[in-house]
Amino acid sequence: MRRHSTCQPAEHALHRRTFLGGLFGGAAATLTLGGVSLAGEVPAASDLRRQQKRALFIWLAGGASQFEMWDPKPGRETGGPFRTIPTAVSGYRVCELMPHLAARMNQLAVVRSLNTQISEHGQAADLMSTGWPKEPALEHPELGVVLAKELALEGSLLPDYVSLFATTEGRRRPATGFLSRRHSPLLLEESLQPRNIDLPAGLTPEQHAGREELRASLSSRFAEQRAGGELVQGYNEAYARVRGLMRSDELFDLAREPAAAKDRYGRTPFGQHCLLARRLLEAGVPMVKVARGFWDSHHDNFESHRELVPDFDRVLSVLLDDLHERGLLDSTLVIVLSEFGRTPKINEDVGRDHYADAWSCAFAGCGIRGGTVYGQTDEDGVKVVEGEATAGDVAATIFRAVGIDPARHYQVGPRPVPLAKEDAKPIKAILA
Amino acid sequence: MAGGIHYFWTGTIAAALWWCGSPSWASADDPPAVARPESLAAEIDRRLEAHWQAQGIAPAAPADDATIYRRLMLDLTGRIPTRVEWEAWLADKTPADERYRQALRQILDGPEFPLYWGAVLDEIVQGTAAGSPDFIDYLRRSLRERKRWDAVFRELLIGPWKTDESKPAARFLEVRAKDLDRLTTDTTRVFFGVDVSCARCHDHPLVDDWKQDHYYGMASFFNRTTGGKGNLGEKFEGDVTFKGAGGTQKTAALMFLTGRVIDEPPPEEAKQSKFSRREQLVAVALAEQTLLSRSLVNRLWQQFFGRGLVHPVDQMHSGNPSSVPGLLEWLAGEFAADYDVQRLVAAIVSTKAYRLNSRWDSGSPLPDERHFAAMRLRLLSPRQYALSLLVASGRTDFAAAEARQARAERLLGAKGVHRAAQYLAAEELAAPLLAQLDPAQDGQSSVAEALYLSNNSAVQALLGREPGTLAARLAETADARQIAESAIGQVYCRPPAADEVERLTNWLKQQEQSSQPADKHRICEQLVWALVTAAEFRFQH
Amino acid sequence: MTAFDPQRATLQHKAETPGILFASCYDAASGNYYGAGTDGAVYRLATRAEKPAAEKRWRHHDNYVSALGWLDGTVVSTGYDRQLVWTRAESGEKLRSSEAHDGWVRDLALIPARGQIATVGDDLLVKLWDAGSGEPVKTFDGHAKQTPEGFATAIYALAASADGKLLASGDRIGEVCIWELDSGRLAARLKAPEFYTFDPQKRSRSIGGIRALLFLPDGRLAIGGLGPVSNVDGFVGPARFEIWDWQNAKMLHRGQDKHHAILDHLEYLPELSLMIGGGGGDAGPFLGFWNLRSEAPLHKAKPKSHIHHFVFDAASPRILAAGHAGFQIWTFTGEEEKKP
Repeated sequence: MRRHSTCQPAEHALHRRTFLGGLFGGAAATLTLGGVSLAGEVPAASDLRRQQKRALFIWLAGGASQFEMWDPKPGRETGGPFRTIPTAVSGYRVCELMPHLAARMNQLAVVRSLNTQISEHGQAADLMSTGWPKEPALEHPELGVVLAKELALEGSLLPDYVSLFATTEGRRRPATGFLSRRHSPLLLEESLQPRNIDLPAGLTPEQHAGREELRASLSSRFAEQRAGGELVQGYNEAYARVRGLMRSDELFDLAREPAAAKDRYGRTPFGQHCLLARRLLEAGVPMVKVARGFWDSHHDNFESHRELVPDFDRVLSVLLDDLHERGLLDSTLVIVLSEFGRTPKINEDVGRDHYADAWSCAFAGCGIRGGTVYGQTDEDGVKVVEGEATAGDVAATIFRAVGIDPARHYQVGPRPVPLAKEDAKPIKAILA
Repeated sequence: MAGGIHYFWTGTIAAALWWCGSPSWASADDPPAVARPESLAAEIDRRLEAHWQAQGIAPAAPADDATIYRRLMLDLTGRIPTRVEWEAWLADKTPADERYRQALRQILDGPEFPLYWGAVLDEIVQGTAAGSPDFIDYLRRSLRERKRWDAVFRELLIGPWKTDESKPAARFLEVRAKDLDRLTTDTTRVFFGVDVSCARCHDHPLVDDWKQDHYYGMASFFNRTTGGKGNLGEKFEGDVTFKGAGGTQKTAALMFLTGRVIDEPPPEEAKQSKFSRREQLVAVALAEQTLLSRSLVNRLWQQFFGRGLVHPVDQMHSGNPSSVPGLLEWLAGEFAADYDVQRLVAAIVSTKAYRLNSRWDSGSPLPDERHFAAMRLRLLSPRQYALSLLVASGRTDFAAAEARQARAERLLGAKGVHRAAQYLAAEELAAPLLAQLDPAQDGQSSVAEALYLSNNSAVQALLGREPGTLAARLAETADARQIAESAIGQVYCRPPAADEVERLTNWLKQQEQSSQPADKHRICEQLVWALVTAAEFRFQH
Repeated sequence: MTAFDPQRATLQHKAETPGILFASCYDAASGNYYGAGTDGAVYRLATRAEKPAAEKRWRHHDNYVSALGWLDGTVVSTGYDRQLVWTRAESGEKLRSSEAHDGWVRDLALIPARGQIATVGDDLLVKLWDAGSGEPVKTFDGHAKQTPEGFATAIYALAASADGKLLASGDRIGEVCIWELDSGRLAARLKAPEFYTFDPQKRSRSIGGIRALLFLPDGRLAIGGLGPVSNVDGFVGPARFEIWDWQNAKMLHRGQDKHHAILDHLEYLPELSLMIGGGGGDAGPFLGFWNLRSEAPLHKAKPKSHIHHFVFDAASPRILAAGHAGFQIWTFTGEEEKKP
């Protein structure tokens, strides 16, 4: 861990913690700077848990194979070599690589009938992660950004959105689009610790606070009676969140998890990332995204999925159990989505290529009717034969699941832009 | 040529050398960059005053001298003035109007204006594709040569892209050539101030002006464009078809936004005469003139006032009139007479309106920003903020050329090379900061920038004490009061006010008492940090 | 054997089958070449006939067939259905079958000198069987059960020495175990890590593995697969084999080509000191010919499709190959089959 490695002796770190205040103290935290009250009452963790809705967006970057997961076609030429296993939902079988999720299928809803047409990584990722086709003059915000904005608790000192994308291929930063940059997620990329949350070398917490106090008071004084003074208020609010985020370093510190939890999630990166996600969700971060790259198995598809799917199966199962045990699953929407699926045709290098005409995604938790399997593809998995769903439908379903009307709109200049595309319909069958 | 002239051959000076090939910055024989923009400015003011009167608005008072000079420098060169510069400005006893005129002319004729505005125009033109050094330099050369805006428009869309100097102009098309929708939409938004993309799928639901015929008519000017980087071309056949209302398939007419349809020769003839649809677009846009001129005037107005006369700037249509009736239309007409960007810039910044205070002292409520009755705060762009941080922290001094350098510039007929090199060096230093700073567009501040400035080690180092930096110089000053005065002067480009000196002095003393042992360097670094992250520095005002 | 010029390698004939053939074996007496793969069926190509077509002969596996062996009139087959099956070649009659492993069976090797068959499976065990009775003889356990990153691994390749004393097994992470069959002892463990690429940074995923093994007559061991991969989405690394002095755990020679492909099978012709490797990947299908003196191949041919297995028919001489979309016959006369 890079924390406090060289410049800060242990007692200093301790002092600093005291100074900044414990995160899990549960006491109401009020931060008053330069006369602007920022936090107000922050509900204690248990209240948060009852009131707040959250979402976890698991992004299987690169395109996971529906055949080796949710929509197997055993015995067909397109089916590949894996066999199927029964699930907790009678009559529904999944790929044998997912025994743990099969046992938890009554908590999951699977949509097997996505037809999203676009099969180029970047464009497809834009489409699926916004629910909108690309428009030249209007950049749509990523779903997580919208969810974070809508689910955010006023006055929270925590980030509204943490996006974790540790691998570099296909890495995308959730676009705020036409929404303000204020809604940008906190990015975790090279490290599980956010950037720039450490006290600068050689500075004491008092000095750090002292200069901020001066900065804030100069700014407020300057803003008095200015045309556009409200911009300064927003500017000061951004700075006011700095301390909260610096204090949240322990939130991001997996060393604080008991060894048993770490072992339970497993020591693979995806396991650790999901453990961190649970930690964040539990602490009250309303929106977390975990990207698991990179599923683009153009060659040796089955060997790749032997590697990737069991890890996914085990980790997601542990996560669902853990959220459930902590009483968070009912208030946390879990979304499992890729930019597209993979071709029915197995190519000469035993790979599967990009395919968006018939593929699958899955949901669990908040607002989801567990144990539902929606839509169907034909016997070779080439076409959707029942319940065709679009990217917009997925977005509308997500909004509806957490209780947001997908038809609500943002005003962008002269244009009212609904959260989900005008023709999108929530998939009611999978909603509780 | 190297060797002897010491400062000349730093890393960035070579990049600055293209200035040398052109005429010097402002030799005595040159015509002034801006011929009498004052009459345009006066007419703008007259129209604004009439508008205010009609609206029952009393505008804000004029801003003070120091504020005006900072504002002008930030808007025309992308940085705050140095202490030497603003003190000279305040000390100058020339009558106010004449002094402003001289300063403006000096800035517009100097090397920094085209360097900064090349980057500004790049962002206007390229949007998300901005940042190509070659393209920026093309725009810088164009400004330097006083190339007319209609000529730039022509070069971007039809070339010729034959020489090394003109090749980068093809970039606007190159990065969009593979995407007809983007090419169509971006061209109409950037150059004509119109967003017709909604009319792609159906007649525009909100704007009566824009029908599918407009969108596909505009697309038709580009559908024959082929190739990409280095091999742009145009075919002589192929039409755009689209599904119109009721599902009928239609072939788009070659139609400009104004509804004017271009007659096209039959395919065989078109091939023989090398009929170029893009040339037709340039011809019709220049002939119709209104959209091209209004779009740029409106976008420049936004640069200086924070919002367009028509706002948003890509929503010029009959349902969204200019907020000051007639002003945009008239000014665009004036601009279309010579398409002279410098003259337009000079006219706008010469207005009284541009020099109004951002403070609203009057008891009446602040009028809506669309009336331009006070100078509204604007977040500095990342480029402005980063360059200004370098000036304030003392990392870049923009010192005048030493005698020998000045002599060398004169000998080579290359006045301004020294300054251009300083500017490019500062630009390189600023580059790593740009992506970390909030863009000015929506005026919103992110916590990411606040975290970056608060804790990033490179930022702390930038503001830190090293020989010659502000923090180091302050630490050498004995008296707390003097430290406060000196810091305010360097960072805020104005003389300090008594109460704020008091405030800072107290703060310094308090810090000194509470830190054991007192570390004056550190305290001065923190003072600099607080000043450059405070709103007065972060905003244009 | 007749000397031949690899430069004249020519695809003389091809015969289509559905899907991909992963396995093949050859009856040199009759000239019948057998192949099997994704559809579980065994196909026969009568290579001495004029323009032969692939005949579907039997289907005794209900999953991918991974390996075939010719055992004196009997075809031994195995695959992802875990079964080891003996089939009378002439009639297609299933003589015997047994569940060989708990998991996919990846390869088999005939050991004529001992009258035994070796198999490897996804239980990560190596097993020895009596070739006549089908009874299990011995089990060897020595390969890592997971990749170093904690993911599933597999043993992909097997090879027995000609004298029947040694068996080599190679796995996904580039490790080879050499077993002494008489004593059951693990004689050596080699690490050839270049055959396995785990990319933690860009994709957090692996690709590769030892896909071909071969004892040379002098006792050296040849290992085949693909070299370091730049993009683990595919076989985006150099086609590669290594020659090892396994007793001293020393790599002696490396054959490699910048053509991005995995070598799924190797054959060595000692009289000509010629190594032949077949496979395919990002740069397309691949058939390479190397001497053991230089790294670069003497010649590269471009097959019709990815070759997953092949045999060298010394009598003709020619290469009989099985892979994507069926069989390919390669000759060295420089003449293509006359088009009708």
